[in-house]
Amino acid sequence: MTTIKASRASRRCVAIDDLDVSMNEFWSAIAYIGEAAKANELGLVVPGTALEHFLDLRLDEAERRAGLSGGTTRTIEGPLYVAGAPLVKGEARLDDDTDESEILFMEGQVFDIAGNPVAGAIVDVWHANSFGFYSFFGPPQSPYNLRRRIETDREGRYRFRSIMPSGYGCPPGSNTEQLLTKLGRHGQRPAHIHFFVTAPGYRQLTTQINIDGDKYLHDDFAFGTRNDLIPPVERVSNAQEIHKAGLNKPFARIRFDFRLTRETAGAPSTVVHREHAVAA
Amino acid sequence: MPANLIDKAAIKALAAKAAGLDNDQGEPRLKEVRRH
Repeated sequence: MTTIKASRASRRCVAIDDLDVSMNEFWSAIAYIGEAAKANELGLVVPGTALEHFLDLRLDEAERRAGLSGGTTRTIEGPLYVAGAPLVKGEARLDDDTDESEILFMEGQVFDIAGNPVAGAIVDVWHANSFGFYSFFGPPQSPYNLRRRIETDREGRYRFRSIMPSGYGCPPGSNTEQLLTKLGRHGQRPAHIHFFVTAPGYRQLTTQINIDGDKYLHDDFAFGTRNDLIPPVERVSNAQEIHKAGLNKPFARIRFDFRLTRETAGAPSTVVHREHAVAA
Repeated sequence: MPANLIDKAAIKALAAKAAGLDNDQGEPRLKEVRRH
């Protein structure tokens, strides 16, 4: 830690000198960081400045050097995870039936890189509602709405029913939005669904899928979109299929499989210890 | 172990986009600083 601090201090001195940063500019930057921290926004500033994606790219490279390949692509965690969502075996319903938007069924399997199903893996899933808000953040929702942990069955299968999430923007007037505006950037994210996928002996996977067709799909302010994390969205309007699903209106369906790599000596850990919101 | 990614073209492009160098809006001085 001391080495990191010394290195950063040295590089910052070089940058201040190279850029001829004025006293006012320097202290404005310090004040900005302080305000963002007070507002608990650093978890938003970090992805917005591409740092969280950069950390992912470094981890990709470290795994490549350790000989690891074939796992599902990772992407950013973002700042809105809440631990301790209800644990369900095999199949879950994520929504609390208060959101009238499009119904979404998502299913798939967890495999190892040889294609063997991973039974007992935990698919920890969370996403925004159709207004772009997460439970425990923003306007009140029922506890753990749109958050569950699903344990895969003996074939590695998981399945959930939920509602189609919406994309969202940085809070208006927030420190993050102010910074992005000054950089000529927007603060919008495309619709997406977050996952942690874990199983004993395997490396934790942190990832998301993006909802195909979103206006901001390839213009995510948080740089979270990766090309192989955009599964097709099937719109189901066939009457028989609707009936079979126990519904009375069309719905959307996504299939996505996860592939986990084995823990390997020499590869940095993918388990990240960072501050998370705690359910009240 | 350092990943030595900084000089790769993709990382430079990422940093430039993050700093808003791919658009002509915003504050040029802040963009210059962010690019570093």
